Amino acid sequence: MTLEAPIDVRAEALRLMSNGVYVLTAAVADSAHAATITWASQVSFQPTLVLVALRRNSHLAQAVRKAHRFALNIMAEDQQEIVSRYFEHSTGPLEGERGLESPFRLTLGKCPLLTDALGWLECKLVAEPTSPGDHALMLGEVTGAGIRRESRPMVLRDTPWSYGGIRG
Amino acid sequence: MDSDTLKAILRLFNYGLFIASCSADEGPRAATVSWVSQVSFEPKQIAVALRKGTSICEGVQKCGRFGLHVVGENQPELARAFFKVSQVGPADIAGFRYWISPTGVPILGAAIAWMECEVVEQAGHSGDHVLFIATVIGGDIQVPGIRALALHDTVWHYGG
Repeated sequence: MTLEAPIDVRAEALRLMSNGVYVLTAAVADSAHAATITWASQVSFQPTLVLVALRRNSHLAQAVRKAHRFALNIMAEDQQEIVSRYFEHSTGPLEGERGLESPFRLTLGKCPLLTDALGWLECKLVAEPTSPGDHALMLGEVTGAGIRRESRPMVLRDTPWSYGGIRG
Repeated sequence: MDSDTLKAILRLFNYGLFIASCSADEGPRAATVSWVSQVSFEPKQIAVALRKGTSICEGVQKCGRFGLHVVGENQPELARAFFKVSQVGPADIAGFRYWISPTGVPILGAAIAWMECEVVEQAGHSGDHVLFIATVIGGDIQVPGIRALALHDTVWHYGG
């Protein structure tokens, strides 16, 4: 029942996790980068640290490594259409703040923040913990944060999508 | 950045509620946790942050294996039972029956699902929690068809 458990049982258990849905953004040189992610968690109160898992060797992971910082844009429950535009990695010029799939504003620390998001965290990349898995782990220390409006955040399990457990 | 804003934003993050468990010399240990995320498809891996100095954190560091139980949406009392250090009886922890898996991890029969995890990395040493990266080596759904309890659906919070 334990070690012999079929793989899909573990996958089913993993899919019971109910993470939020975030658009991760970063800026490298003159370009903005963004993509939707769900594997994110706070991991320390003091200092305030968050962990995100990004597909290894993805454009997004490379962008965060180069930028040494990233933002987590917290999306509202009624923003599925905007979120779906970022399922594929989006990139475009910083200039004009219109190079992504939705408008953004650049922080002083040079992080693009989606103006549609209901809140955001800006993080400095402090470590990339080693992991043998298929996603790179990025540990960020929160350096800035803001709320734009009151709304309920999107939770993955309340959407038609899934990411945990199995591919797709 | 004002700290109230930061707290409010971090509480917009959603998490499930989980009971982490491990074996120690004196018997099983279990505690409710919520900072959990899957971090790899292949191999199947999760990350769990456990507060430094707690008995569950030290227990997991010592034995290198732990159980992670999913609390169902109809089971807030299960989560509440493991907020504090639990009383361990001959066949129960905090009144909930358990069994020991072949690899030595205490498994609570009441949870809707459980996973057995083997620690492969520890990180986050600059913070106040130890971040365990672990491979899921086994697991089962004990009560099918029930959704997991989400922190947003409870009166509790942990982030901030």
